[in-house]
Amino acid sequence: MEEKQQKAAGAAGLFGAAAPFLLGLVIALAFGWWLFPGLLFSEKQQPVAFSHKTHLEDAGQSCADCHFLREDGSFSGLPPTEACASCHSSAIGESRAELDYVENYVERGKEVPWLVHQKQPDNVFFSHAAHSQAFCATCHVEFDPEDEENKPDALCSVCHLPVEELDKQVAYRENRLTGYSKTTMKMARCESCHANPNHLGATNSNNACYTCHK
Amino acid sequence: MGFDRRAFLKFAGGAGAGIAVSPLPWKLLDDVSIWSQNWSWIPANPRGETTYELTTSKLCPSACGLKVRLTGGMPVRALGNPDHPLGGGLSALAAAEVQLMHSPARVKTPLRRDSGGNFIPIGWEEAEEALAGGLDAAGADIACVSGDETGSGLDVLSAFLGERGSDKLYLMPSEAQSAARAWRLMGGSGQPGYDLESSDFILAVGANVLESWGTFIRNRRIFAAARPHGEEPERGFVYAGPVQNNSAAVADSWIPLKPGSELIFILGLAAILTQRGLSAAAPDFASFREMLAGFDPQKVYALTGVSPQTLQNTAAALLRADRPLVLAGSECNQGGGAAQILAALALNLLLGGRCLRDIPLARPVLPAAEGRQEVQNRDLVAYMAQKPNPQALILYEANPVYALPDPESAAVALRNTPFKVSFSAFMDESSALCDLVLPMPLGLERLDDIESPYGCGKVFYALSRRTLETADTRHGMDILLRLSAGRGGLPASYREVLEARSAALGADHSALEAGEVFEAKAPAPGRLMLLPEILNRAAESKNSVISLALAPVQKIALGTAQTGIPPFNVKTIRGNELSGAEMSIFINSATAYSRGLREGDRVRLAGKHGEIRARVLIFEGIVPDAVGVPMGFGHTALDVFSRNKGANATELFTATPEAGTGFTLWNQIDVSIVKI
Repeated sequence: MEEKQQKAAGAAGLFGAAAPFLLGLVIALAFGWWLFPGLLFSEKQQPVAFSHKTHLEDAGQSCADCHFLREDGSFSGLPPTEACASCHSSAIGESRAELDYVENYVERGKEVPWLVHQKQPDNVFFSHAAHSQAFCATCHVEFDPEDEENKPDALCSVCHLPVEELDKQVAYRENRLTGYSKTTMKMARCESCHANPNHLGATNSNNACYTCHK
Repeated sequence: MGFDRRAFLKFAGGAGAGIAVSPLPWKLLDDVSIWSQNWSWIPANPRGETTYELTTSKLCPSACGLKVRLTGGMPVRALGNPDHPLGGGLSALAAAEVQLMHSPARVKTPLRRDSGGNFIPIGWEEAEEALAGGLDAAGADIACVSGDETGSGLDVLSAFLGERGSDKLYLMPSEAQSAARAWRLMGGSGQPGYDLESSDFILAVGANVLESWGTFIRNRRIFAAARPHGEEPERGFVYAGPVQNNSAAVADSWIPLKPGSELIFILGLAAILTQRGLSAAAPDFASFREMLAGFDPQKVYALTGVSPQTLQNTAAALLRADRPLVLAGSECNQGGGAAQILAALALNLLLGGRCLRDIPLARPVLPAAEGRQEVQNRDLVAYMAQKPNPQALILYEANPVYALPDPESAAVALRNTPFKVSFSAFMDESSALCDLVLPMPLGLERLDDIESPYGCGKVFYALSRRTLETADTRHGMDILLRLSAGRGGLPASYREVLEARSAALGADHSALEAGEVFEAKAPAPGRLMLLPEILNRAAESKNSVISLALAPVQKIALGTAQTGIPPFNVKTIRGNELSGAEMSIFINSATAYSRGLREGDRVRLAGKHGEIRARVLIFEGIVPDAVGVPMGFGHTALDVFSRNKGANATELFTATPEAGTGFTLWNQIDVSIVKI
């Protein structure tokens, strides 16, 4: 009986002795895993309320109406105000967002300072043409738009949010330290393909510095 | 249980362990590495559609064709235009032209010097009032120096000065002036033109034809086209000069020549050719042949260092060719005098002159403007030597305080001028001494013209186009025309002058504005004189003994006197050319041995007026008893990429009147070298 009491006291004593350590551990883990990510990123909203779903479903547009590869292989990126103004030369409907957009951008001929979730730093050259279905779908059949089981923009969604399904914009999360978007593609992601020898023969995508960097 | 020291340490240990297995340190480390690369000066790429605009470089002396790439309407890159008659490739200066639009050396707003001697930014209205006030106060005692020798701006400057009773319009010294002087003495009507395209053998004497002489980008294209890879060259090319420069490096052969002895070498060749029966249909050919008798190969060897055998071989190569062409000039595109060009033109006439052209000079399109020849005939260096001190001085894209021989004298002259204004895109040495600095748009920011740059073989006319308006600039010509307010029949805008020029040439102005180029065949020269008396007098003055001769070397990558070293081109400067703020001069090992010098020694080079300091680089591609000095270093103004980098070679230049022609030259300069 005395021996049992000594063992219990020893266990309690041991636990009691480790309590500060465990407390520090738990607080640090909570801070590092839960609080820190929230503190590192600030949330920003887009300057204009835009719904991809409305434009695709209600206006009957397709992705390529606004985002397309030019003849010279460069990617059009986001459409300029001039292109949007072909429909929005005057307000369509009476929503506040629509009125604000027409008044602040269309009428002033000003470009919208969109917050681009996947914007790459200026020392990186990312070619949409080189990462097109023509290359990737050669082996990755899941990206083949001709295959009925696949979504036509499946390859786009590898990097970009599935905006065609979203009615509301996703908050833009900016790293307070670096200034980049949380979803900016990091080099490790690039290297998952570029450093993969299987890609070299099929796509000529080597991992030399100047393949991506300027 | 209390929270004692032991407990705290345990807590800290737990916290440390927790942090280590959380993303915090690793994510922070990654982000700090990214943050540390967020330099403020990284330019952000513009977004938008890629378009191209064709134009001609106003900045590069070669007037090469440009294909400017624009992204979202913003020029981002200059490319060569293979279809341009003076293009094909791209010079190192033209390649930097887009970046130079954003150079830290740009003058961004009009600047006026206040009573304390500092520049203060002012608005354009105040600037134009200050300009009018300063020039009106000077009356007719106004002089102007232009760094632009191919534009219609010369007409405007001439008419502007003429309307105020002055004819003191000068050009910054260049080969074009020396050639025009020689051509006029011979009886040519315009400027000499060189049909390089049809020649089958080119002998370049002193003229660095692939780097700085004439239309050097066109020259490079012609050179490259005649040398298909893996095949026999279709055109021979020999370079004679003191330094194994970029032209010599690719020539079939390099003939080392003492600095300043180009004239003697050419006359030596002419002597051999006349002995072999060649003649020219010139009224004074008989006396020319008689004069050449004094230039036997042994004498030529003594004065030039070229062996009689090499001289004979070169003459034989010229004789073998169907359409040979001899081009003479100076390594640094200035100061070579008119006599050596005159001699080369005479040698071409002996060889049939089939590749020579007489390119008509631009006729003034403004009634009060002088002819281009009158302007070219004036000698700025001779004018400055008189210490004229006009009441007002206009510098139009000119930087005499850096580029003229004996730059300190030019600076003193500027300081002694009561009112001086500089129209300049960059805050160069001369602008820094002015009372008023008016920012000029660069070639890619303005509508301007380029007419028949020296070295071309046809009548050429093209416009530089405005691809972007950046800084708060105004074209100097528009300002002067506005100031004239229509007096003297001057139009209201520079565009009208350019339209008149296009019409005078029979060119379609709107097509030119779209990037097209006007070309017309130039006639063969008429009956020209060979002027043996002038040549002989000039040659006799070459007999002076020089212990160590200066051999300046120009590289277009280092920019011009106005631009300084383009930041884009800093990476083209080798470590043995410039190390920190110290540049290298180069001598061969024999010269070094005879003067007790070794590679890396610090030396002082002294000329008649000034001196420079540098390190010794041993380079066997230079003749003995000569010292190679790179041009383009030693700026004291502009930006951090040019300022206090090396020394200015013009400090060593001493201008003297050329016997025979009367034009000043500075191609035979004796310098001393002392180890320090």
